[in-house]
Amino acid sequence: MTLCKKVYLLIFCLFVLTGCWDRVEVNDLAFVTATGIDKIEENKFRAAVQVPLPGNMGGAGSSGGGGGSGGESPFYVDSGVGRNIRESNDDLQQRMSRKLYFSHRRVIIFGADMAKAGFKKSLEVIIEQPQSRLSAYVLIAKGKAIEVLNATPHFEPFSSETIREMAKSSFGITVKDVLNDVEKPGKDPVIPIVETAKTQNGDGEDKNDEVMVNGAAILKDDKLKFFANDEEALGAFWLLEESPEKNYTFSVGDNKEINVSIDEKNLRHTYSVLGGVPSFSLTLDVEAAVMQNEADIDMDNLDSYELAIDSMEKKIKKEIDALLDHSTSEGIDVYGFGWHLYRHDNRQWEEKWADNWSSTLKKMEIDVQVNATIQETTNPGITIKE
Amino acid sequence: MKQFISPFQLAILVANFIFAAALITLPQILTQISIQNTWIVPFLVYPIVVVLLLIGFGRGNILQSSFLTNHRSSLHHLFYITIGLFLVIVYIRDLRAFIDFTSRALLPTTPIEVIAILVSVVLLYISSTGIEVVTRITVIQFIMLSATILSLPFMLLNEIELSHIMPILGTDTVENLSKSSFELLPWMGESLIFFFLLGNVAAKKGVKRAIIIGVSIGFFLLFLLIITSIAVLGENIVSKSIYPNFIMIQQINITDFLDRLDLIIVILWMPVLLSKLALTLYCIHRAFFNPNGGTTSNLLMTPLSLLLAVLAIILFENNTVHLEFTFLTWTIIGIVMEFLLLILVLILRFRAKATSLR
Repeated sequence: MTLCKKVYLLIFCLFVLTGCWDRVEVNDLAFVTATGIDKIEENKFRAAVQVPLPGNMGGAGSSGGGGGSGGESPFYVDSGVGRNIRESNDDLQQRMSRKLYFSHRRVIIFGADMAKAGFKKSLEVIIEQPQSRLSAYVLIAKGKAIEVLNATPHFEPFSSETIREMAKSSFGITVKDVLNDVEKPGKDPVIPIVETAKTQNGDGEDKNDEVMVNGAAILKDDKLKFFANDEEALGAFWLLEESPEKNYTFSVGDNKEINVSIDEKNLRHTYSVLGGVPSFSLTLDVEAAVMQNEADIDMDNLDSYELAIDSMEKKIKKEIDALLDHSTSEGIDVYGFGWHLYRHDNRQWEEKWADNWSSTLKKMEIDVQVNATIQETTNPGITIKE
Repeated sequence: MKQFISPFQLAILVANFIFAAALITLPQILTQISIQNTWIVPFLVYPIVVVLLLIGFGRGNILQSSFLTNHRSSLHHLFYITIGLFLVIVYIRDLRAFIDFTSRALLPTTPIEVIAILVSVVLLYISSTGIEVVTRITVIQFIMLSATILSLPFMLLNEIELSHIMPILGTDTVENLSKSSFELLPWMGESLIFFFLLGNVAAKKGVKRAIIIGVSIGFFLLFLLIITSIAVLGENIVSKSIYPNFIMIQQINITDFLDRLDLIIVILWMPVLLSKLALTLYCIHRAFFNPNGGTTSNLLMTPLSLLLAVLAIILFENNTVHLEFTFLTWTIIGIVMEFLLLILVLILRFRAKATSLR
């Protein structure tokens, strides 16, 4: 290489190596762990973010990453107002010395008013924004979303982490699931409810706002229609939750209950079309293990065993029927009967049902059958009779 | 001295050429058209492409011999100019796609002009070393990316929903699949580059097999990406995302702590696309300035690469214009030019056959 070429190369390097446009230091970023979106009025939204404060995150006796001050909250919540989510974030950014960074956001909460008005556009921001992830959990708050973000549960430093853990171990619905359910023909989303509750420690002073993920919000497309009651919420578990793990209690007489742990559940469906109206048959197989036999039912006696099984099956069927009756009466397809028809009988779906699926649902017959078995009982197991 | 590649290397070059750029945005438009049936489309286009390539290649090695000879006819030159123009369009399209992806997903505040210049310098460096180096880089990178893509369905096993890929037989299914196939055909038709590379393959045996293997690998990997992305994301999200495969790999979560593999996979993909661009640049340079392979000068490679980089920036006002070109204009230009090239190849082969008979 001649000297001239070397000089040219050095000059070229000066231009391309002088700096990087995209250099970002970690301490210039505000890592958003959760977002809460509330509707203030028509076309006016409040987007709240929960951001960890590295300086307050040190363990006991430590000063934390940035020289923390003991006793202070390890996160803070702030919000911005705008006509859409991006504008709300921009409004908030004006008060922040660090740049909002959404790549580590795990939870998105919609307030009840926001959910009633529809939130599809707010969720689609996540596809448009390369930082955001579709794997964030979506939940609906019974009140304001920002109130849930402000909760200070005991176990985790952030309420967002508590919500993520609870959503993951139960009925976790991600942005991806919601966006798909909203767009799928013949399927409406069901989203878990999140709310706060005070620590129930009697007269103890250490009372915080604990986070509770419980129940199901039933939506039509992207709009909240109703919050399922306790019975309907259990129906949602039987129909929609993939993980079978759950403790379940049912009565076998007056003030006599059996507690079981659900080990397996398998839901199947078949359908038939009569006179242009489809009807579905759902069969749920449940396997459980007895955890507490307060009713003192003798499980090795066939009659007693069948009494227990029958009670359990009836209760489960009642819960599923409660959810299906309520939702179909409002033209909502929580299970995805229409989605099944769309895939398996697309021509009939397009010709007969696609345009009036809500009204078809109201007159559609849905038969629910539950087959329960108890695989394990508690000690003493078999009792030898004289 | 003329550089040569083996049939295996030829197969990898062809596979890489049809696959590396098609995975960026193409699944989006295909899924918009043929929804969750889109994964069937590669199976429909594959036989068409293979038959066309076999028709072009013909029996024996007459065509290969005609490219290996130093006495090129004016028809050869016409073929080189046509494929040169074809490759210029492919290069500009892919370079801009690469720049836009880098700018949107990785370096949002770096000006695209700077990205274009830096990429062009890298490509210039690789291309000027010749076909052998380009091929070796391609083989190494392509094998690594292929292994990663083959493992994707396993890494995403917990995210896959089979109901998303269940074929739907509706009233307009056949029509939509045809439209999608039409969209995919010119992308896969880029495998015609293999005719251009024939002059660099010394081996007489196994060349035809190499083409089939190369095209098959490219199709299979594209099929795998399409079916995995639809199974994981659902057709709704795939058809709304500019970079559906990027969003798909963001879904990988092997336990709570191993869920940031997207950047690693992108880093594996980038050299593969750079290899394709480097091969394209090399071929453009040879087609226009060194069709006989007689000279070894790369003097014009620098201005050529910079000119193409400038064109990649100024021809598209923004990324939407580029996407419009990629999805709509390119389909027509690609199909017309590919059929023109195929006709030229057929004439070349018949002439070569007539000459050999004489």
